[in-house]
Amino acid sequence: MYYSPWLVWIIPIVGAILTPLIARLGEKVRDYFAVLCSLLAALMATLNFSYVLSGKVYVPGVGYVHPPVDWRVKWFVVPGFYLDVGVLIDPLSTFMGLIVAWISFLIMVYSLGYMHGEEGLTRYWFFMNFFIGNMLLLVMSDNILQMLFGWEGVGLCSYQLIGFYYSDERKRWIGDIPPSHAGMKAFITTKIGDICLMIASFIIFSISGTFNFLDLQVNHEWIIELAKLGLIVPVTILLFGGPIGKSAQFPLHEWLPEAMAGPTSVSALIHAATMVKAGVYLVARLFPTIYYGFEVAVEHVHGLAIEGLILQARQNFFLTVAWIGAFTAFLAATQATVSRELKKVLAYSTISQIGYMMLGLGAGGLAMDPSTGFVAGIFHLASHAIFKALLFMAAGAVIHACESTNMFDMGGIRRDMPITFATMLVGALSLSGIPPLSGFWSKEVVFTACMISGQYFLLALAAVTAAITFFYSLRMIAITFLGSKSEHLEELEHEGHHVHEVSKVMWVPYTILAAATIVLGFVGPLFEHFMHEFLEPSMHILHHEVKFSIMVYGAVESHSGIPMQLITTTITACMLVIGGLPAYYLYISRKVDPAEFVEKHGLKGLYNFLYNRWYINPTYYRLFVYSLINGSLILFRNFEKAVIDAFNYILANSIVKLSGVVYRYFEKPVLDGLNYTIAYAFASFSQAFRRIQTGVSSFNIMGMVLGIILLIILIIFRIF
Amino acid sequence: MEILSPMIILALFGILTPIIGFICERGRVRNLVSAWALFGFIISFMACFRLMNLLNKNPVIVVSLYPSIGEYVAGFIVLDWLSFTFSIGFIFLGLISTLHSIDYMSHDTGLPSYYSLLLLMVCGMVGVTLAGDFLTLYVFWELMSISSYCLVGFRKHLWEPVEAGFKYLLMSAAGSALVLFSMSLLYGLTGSLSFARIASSLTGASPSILLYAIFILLLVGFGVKAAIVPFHSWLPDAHPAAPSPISAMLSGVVIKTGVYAIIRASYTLIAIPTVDFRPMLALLSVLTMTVGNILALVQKDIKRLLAYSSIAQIGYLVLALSLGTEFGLLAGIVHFFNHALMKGLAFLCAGSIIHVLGTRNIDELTGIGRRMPVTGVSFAIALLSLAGMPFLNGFISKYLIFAAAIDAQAYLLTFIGLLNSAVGVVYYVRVIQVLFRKPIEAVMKAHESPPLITSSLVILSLLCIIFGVWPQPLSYVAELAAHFTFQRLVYITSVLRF
Amino acid sequence: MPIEPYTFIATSGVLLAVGIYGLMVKRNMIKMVMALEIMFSSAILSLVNFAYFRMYGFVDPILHVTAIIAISVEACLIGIALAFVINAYRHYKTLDIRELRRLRW
Repeated sequence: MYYSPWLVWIIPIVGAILTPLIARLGEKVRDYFAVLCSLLAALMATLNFSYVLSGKVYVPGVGYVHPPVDWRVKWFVVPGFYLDVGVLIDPLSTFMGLIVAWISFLIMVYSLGYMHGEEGLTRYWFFMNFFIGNMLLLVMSDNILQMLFGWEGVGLCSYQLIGFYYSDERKRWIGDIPPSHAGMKAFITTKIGDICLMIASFIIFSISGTFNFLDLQVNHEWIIELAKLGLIVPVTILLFGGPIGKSAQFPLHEWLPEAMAGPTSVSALIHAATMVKAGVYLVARLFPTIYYGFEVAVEHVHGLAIEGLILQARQNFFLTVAWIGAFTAFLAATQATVSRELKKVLAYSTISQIGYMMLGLGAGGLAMDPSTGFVAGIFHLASHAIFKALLFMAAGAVIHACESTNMFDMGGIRRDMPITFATMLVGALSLSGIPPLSGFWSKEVVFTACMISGQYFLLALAAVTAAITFFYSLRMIAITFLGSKSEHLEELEHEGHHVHEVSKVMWVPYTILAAATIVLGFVGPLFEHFMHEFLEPSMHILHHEVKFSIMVYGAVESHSGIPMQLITTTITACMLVIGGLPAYYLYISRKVDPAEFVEKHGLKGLYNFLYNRWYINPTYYRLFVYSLINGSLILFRNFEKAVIDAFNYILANSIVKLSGVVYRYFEKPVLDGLNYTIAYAFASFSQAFRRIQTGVSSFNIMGMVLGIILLIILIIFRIF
Repeated sequence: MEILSPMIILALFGILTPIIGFICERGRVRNLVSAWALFGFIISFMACFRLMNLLNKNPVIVVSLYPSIGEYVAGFIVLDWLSFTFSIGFIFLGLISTLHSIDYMSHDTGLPSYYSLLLLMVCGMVGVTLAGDFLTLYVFWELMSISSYCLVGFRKHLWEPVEAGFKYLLMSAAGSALVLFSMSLLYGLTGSLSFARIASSLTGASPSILLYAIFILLLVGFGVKAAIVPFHSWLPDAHPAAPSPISAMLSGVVIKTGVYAIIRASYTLIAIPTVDFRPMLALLSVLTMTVGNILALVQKDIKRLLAYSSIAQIGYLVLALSLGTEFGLLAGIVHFFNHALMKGLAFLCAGSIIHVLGTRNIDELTGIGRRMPVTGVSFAIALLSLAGMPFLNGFISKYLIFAAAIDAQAYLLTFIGLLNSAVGVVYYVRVIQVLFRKPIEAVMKAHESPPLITSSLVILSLLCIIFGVWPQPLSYVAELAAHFTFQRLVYITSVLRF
Repeated sequence: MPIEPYTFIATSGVLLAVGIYGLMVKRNMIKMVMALEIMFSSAILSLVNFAYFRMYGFVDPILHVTAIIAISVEACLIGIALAFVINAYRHYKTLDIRELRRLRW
């Protein structure tokens, strides 16, 4: 099992490829086989994690090595050019792999129940396993190129699974677009980011000659080279383009809400727990390169201009990450407050929480000691992956039971679905950062990271977002579970459909995750400490003493008197109250009717603004989609119809006449002949040419003799 | 003696096969002889694989068949990376062909002699790669040739194999007579038959007409086997006429023994300053690929098309050799291996279709890919690989060849080669289109071939994909082979010192 | 008159040319096989010639071994060739090689 870093992603991919074959053995076998593959992957990921935890990784042929280990295999070597494939076994990758693999496994189990009896399940299992394999490949790979394969692979699976219900029945629609459209939208939007990432990584490759993460960290010549070319600022920003697309950050966040058109298990796996974290993971992966590598490069460069450029690039990168993260968190949270669909609320909150992770990482990069920010990003990633997967699975159960995606079609099912209610409550509370659940601790670290780096405005934005988060979480729980039953449900009951708890195979996975959230909450500070220790090697892969001498943006040295934890906790508490009270009055105690409230206080405009997603989505459509369609239409109408038609009309007669002449004297003999010749040139040439193969032995021998003579002539002319 | 083991195993199994066949007929267990041959190939393959460990320790290994003679003038065996690369390719394709033959040949009579000849042919090919002197080379060369004549003419109750076999025999035997003649001239010049001794005598020799004449005779003699163009005319007859597994062997590896011998002659025996073989090989390569591609365009017979495509591919291979650089040699060796895989796969797929439909006319195969999915997809993989689609092994080797050509500043050759591979795509894609069109009436009744045939196809197509995605193991071995072939002093000194 | 080595070289060269000429020109399959035989003979003659004349007073046994092996190999070859001729005669009812041209283009 020393090969577990490889097997962890090979097993699911091979399993996916085998799925269509296994499907012939029977549906049950196929389903369990798919789940088994993900279980094996999870076990492999656990092994990897344990290797790193024990500090000893066995590489065949080398022996025991301390992590981080870069296990490379030559992939393609020709003189002067080589490419490697490899797995990077370090704390970050194994930790991420552990989370991805286990959550994937639980969701696969959940799918057994959720997808039971659907059509096209072979396709479903194929893409699910293929996704898991590609995601783990992305996580484990040690170079950008290999990671890009995984990156595109997960994108493909995401596209396929969003459009899983490709027949586009009305009940599958999310918002006002059909699933296949949603898949296309997701694919194209993320592709924009991917292209940026690809451009950046190929520029880096062409300068440094390597795709390897560790090589890029240890060598700094490429940074200086890049700075001399003046490309360093654009390249770092382009690098961040990939994460923006994949992790649904502003301005490419618009695909994620529609991506909920897929089955809920898919949303849980791909659009909440794993794939959208790939961007965060990539930023974390590049973190030491940009934070330390640029620092080292500055020490080795002569000339203030280049020095300034490199530092500016670093500064820009982390500022961009932090600001985009904070802004996206706020943006998406506000949109979540007015959403009418359960899954869409969760989608917005996913975008928002990923914003927090980005904020954590960005703030880390702006601080003197980056470890808090780094840990904040990763810790929040882990806790969010757990509680968001749980929320999605529970939401899926509710949707399954109520047969509607709209929250206002639910309500009052608390007693009918007690387990789901309890787990979803845990998830929602964790999401909004109620102590002592895991979300509280991870969000706390993000705030601390902001404080350490001195980004008080971002801290304020994050804090406001926390309030909004609590508001919409409570709203979601209240509308879905509390109050009285909606008309839709009563209608269902009339038809004899009683809402009841879902099957065991569905609720067990998310109950496990709820337990994990609670446990992680109780050991939160310990876990944070552990992460600090554990992720240390991922941060300091450079075996180089780094001096933190040169400018660090507005850093806070230390706080006089009050411990930082206390400040952040106070902020959180205040924000919870600010967000919680309105939600309580509006939705739980229902003393005020929300619609009336909106009307009375003139908030209709704000409501519309939020409901239309800050008009970003319509703008995009107008700018890129409709403009393209309209543009071509306009082109057709005005230009083609008016101009060309007129032109045609005027010239028609003369052209007709001319063409008659041309046809008679030119086209028929020359062009036709030419076309004919080109089309059949090779064929007829070949037909004529093949006669050299006469089939007569004497001619064969003669050809041989002619060959000898040819060679002799050649030699006489060339050499003597 | 361990390095002889693959060859000895093959010879032993080849000789014992008729006896086993006799027992089979008595015991009415028809497939025993096939299993026996398969077993022989498997053991031999494993034995051959083990030689890699020896080579890692010592790049050139010498073994004498007659230790009492003392000085090594004849009858000894030299294993280096080049011979290893070629022989493992030969044995592997032999293994796959045997697997394919079990079902494919089940309706034929005389199976014991068929397998015996197949084993002996591969034995001869491995012997050619292991030969350290001309006498050994000649004996194994003829063992391979005679077995292949018999295999081409195996279905002697039909007119086609007989005609094709006779033409093949005439050309090929004339070629080996030329080889024998030039061998005597080389002895007259240097006083030895051993490669190493001849090479050491000729090192630093100034170019002379006699040396050029000898080289041309060798080139023609080996070139007939390798189907380089003016000497190719037997190939389009003989390859389609043979049973399909044998076609796979002939197109996949037998013609490569000629290429191997040309590599030995031009890189080890008579190196560049003495005889500048580059313009000759370049001319021949241009001729070969152009003629092969153009003639393949209008073929109606699927196997004949593949045979012409083999000629074209040999053209690329000779192009790589004509560069005279280490990189070119590397590219050529990689292409040898990849072409063995993909052309073997293509012929075996054609065989699988012929086994079911009984026709070789391309128009009558319309839509067969839909009725026989495994065969169809494997065929598509093979053809796309031959056409040079990325992520399949054909792309890798073509890329390497053209990269090597650009590296050696042979821009005109690169241009002609690229033009040719563009022409090549036309007929490969045409066949794929035909395979996956709407099935015609006659095809509708077809079913997938038996599992042994499809398993051989699946193995080869998986290898095509694996070496397309991960070419490193191949290029690793090829790099070593090219390196030690290019360092001819290593070869000479280790043989002479022994 | 002492026998010069060049006489033999020239003879074997001429024999080679005769063999190729025979292969190119003759129509009868048997005659083509004979032409093949002549080509081999020229090579064998050349081998024996060099074995004798390469070094004064020393006849290289290796070359003689080679010659004998070549003769036996050639005998096998001719056997196969004649077998092909017989089968060709069965199918085509003629020995004219130009009638064996169904395989072409």
